[in-house]
Amino acid sequence: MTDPTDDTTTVEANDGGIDRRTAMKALGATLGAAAFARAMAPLRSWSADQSMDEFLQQHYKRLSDEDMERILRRLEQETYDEYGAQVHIDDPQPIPGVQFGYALNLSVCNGCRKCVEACHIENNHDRSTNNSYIRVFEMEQGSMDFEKGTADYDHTVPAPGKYYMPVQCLQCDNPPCVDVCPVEATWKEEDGVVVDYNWCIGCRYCQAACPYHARRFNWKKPEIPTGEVNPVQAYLANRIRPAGVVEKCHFCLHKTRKGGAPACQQACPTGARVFGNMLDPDSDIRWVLENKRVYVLKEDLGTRPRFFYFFD
Amino acid sequence: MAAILCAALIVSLFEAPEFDDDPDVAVDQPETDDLYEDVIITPPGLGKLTTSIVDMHGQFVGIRCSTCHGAGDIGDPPAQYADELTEFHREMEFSHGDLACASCHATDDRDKLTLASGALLDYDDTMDLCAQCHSSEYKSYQHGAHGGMSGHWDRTQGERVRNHCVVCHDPHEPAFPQVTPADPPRDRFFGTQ
Repeated sequence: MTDPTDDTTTVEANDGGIDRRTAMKALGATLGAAAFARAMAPLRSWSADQSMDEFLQQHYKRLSDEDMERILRRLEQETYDEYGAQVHIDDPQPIPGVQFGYALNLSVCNGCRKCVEACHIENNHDRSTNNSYIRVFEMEQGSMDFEKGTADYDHTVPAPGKYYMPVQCLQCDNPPCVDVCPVEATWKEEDGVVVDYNWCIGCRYCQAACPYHARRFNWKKPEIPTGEVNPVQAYLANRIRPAGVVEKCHFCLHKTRKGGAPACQQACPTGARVFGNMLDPDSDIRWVLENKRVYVLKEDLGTRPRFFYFFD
Repeated sequence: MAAILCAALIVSLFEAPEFDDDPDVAVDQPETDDLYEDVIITPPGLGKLTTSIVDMHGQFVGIRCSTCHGAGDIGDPPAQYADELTEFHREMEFSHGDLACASCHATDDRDKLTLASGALLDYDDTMDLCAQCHSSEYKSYQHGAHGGMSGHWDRTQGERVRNHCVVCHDPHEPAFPQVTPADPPRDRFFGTQ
């Protein structure tokens, strides 16, 4: 402890002009200011890639009808500015009393990947990666484990000794992807699991959590020629997704919530796919569930998929 | 008095609870009349043999069977089985079990088909003929589990578009052919390379 009567010590410290404490304060303030500036850097590029309106956009479930209307028109304008395509984006809601179910007949699927192609076109996927929400696995006959399947086979199909299993989002009733999302950008609606691409922060937890590898990440902004943009779009469905967000199959809700068939089913040349309302006792899907021996993928995980497979 | 209260309490405990019908779950079953009819895609030219002649619309001209097989066959009697063909129809592939030509084609009226019962059948009703042997497929077809679908799953909003058997299956060679698949997504998942 310094003796207050010892004048020499006090004089020495004041002579230097800056004592250690002040120097540390200055250094701290400088570093703090630099870190703050760095943290705020995205704000500087607001006008470049994000409008103020988009930055301040609320979570989907808190949007009023007027908000949604404004957002949809803004997204249409952005699509026109960036892709040169006139599109119509709306936000169809689940139909009361409708629970979608999907079944796929593995006895007749021949692995032609027409569903993959139809999904690619319908959902405005990036042309350069040929992205699609569906993967078709070529499987050894007798094997049931699609993790051992091959998704990039390149020969005429069906090959001897093989069968083919298309896998897409199974719209689980107990979805692990929804449980892990830290920002509630993905949730289960009455008829399927959806993603708000404007709310997703791109952490990819959901991609890691999905046992069916159903989710895709947009590593870059999708490239789509103007003439190939599908103009019939929906907010939670096939509108063009920004870079850095996760996406997945939504059972073509922009069509199916209006009574239409999903694109993969329309495209299937073998008739392997059956889609419909599981609550309607007269529907095709109900007949399949009641009369065919259906199974789901990785049933032991307790995810309760809405997508069923069967053999004739 | 206490006994009456007790009895009332017990009765109220065992009273059946009332369930409100949740309007969100209730399914409105539309009247059958309100539903759109199925549209079945029928392939053009059923019952005709396609020739190499092209008409003004760019379509190959088909000729009716009775054009050649008219009132009685000229020359040699017609073949019973595909492997007996010597001149005509040899461009077609035949691979459909051990069927004879007359298993499906009526010999009395060449513009008709014949059921196993001997009854004559129009070419437009071919599905009834197929269903004689392929009953399980036909049953699945009737319930939308075979043959594919496009259009609307919700028949209150639009029609369901279905295929006719012959849209996908060549009756003379019905097995689905091998095809070249579309390109896979380039996402490097589950690849062999």
